[in-house]
Amino acid sequence: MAPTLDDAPARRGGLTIADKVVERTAGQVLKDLPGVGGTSSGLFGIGASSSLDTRPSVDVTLSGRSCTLAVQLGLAYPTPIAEATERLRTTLSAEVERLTGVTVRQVDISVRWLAPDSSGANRGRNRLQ
Amino acid sequence: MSTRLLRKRPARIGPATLSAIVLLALAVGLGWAGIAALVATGSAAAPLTGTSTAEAAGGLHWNSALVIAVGVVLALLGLVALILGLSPGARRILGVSADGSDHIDDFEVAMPTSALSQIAAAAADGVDGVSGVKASSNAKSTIVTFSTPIRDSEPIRAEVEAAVKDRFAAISFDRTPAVKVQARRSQS
Amino acid sequence: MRRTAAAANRTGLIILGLIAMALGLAVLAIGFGLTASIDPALEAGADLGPVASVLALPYSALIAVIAALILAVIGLRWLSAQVPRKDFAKPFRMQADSRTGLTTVNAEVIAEAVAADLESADGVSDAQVILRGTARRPELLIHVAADERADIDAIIADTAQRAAGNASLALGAPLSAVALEIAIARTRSRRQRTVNIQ
Repeated sequence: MAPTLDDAPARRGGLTIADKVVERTAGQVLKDLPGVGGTSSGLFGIGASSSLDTRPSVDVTLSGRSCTLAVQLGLAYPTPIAEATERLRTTLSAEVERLTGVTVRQVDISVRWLAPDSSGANRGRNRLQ
Repeated sequence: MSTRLLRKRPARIGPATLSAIVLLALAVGLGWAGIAALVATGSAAAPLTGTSTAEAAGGLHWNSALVIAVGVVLALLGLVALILGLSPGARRILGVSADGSDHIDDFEVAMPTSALSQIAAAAADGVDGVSGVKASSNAKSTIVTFSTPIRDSEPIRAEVEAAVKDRFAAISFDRTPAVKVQARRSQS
Repeated sequence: MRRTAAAANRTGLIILGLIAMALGLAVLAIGFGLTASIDPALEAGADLGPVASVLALPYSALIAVIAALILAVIGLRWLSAQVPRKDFAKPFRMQADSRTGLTTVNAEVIAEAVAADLESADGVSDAQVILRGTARRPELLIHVAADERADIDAIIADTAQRAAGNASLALGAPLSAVALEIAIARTRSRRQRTVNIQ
């Protein structure tokens, strides 16, 4: 069984998955998760804004048919950070593998900000009182 | 936790900064004189003399007024520095008792004496007939001085005292500070 | 609320004080003739020539420069110790298994979230938070500026229950220590407030 699987792509022709594809896929998977956000990069850091609607940034290091991901993201506050990132890591690895066929070895997660779920609106209301 | 996170006594930042600056000034003076002498003679064995101050100092007598004055100033400054270093200083915060919660092992709450004054002033300011308030506090008591255009200030004084005491009573201090209220007639 | 060099300052002041006092008293003792019995040269009427002659010794200029350097180093280090340090905790590692990847959170990130959370409470106009310790044993140092008429006890309770609860939930561990300092925010001027009609 195994040899046929291994041989199959070679016989049909090469398939190259670019870093960008994995990166995009991972970003999209993360974006669809609730309570996870990113930072939109402004021009030279000016106008950069963080929100739960922004796609988290992902760096992919591909080596053969496996990869490591470095994710920078923001989380809703309060969320159990350790559990949330652990869940996120499992989901992300599984989804990226399913969608691209690339094995995810490691997901390094750097939490860049924590913000209340409905950040803007919530804070404004309290400030106005 | 054995160490407290909140500093109760002053850290003597002002005196320390001043002393450090004095040390630096001494260093600059001494270094300047030394380098000047080294450059002037051009040899590493150069003595420090030749500067006019050194010569003038050599001519002074021990019982001259200037030397005595310098001695007095040095001794006094030394005494002040010693006292500042040894005495704990006035407490800058008041403990406030607080129930912790399941989320906290060790909960410590405090309020600086300046906050006490501001709270007292705000409470006194809410009393009708008060035109201006000043308050000063230490860790044990607060003195509120208010001004009023009304001639008979005693009823207002009592009202202010009650207002401030009420306000303090609503805060669960470890030891509720004493309140003293003084009236000052304002000319307006 | 930030760490300052309280102990070092006091030690420095004590040492400096002792030196200055000893020098001053010595000068006074000679000046008032108290030392004449010990050494006739230290008589009240004598001049400062012997002291000044030390400066005439060879290499005294070099020694002065070295002494100046030492003094300068002490002075600069003491001065720089006065700058308050926040001493945040090192970035927290919160992964279950480092083989599948690391989870890193800067202490500042959590502190900022806690501060924003505190500021959402009634009567709190500003909050500053410093996070120390480790992810397992976090310590929070909180500085809150409350409104003049705010219910202080309510702010304390809110901090202990809600804000600390959220922080502990996020970190996944109870807070080993929380220190809360409540100051009063300087808001509107007194005069403005008296004419405030609602």
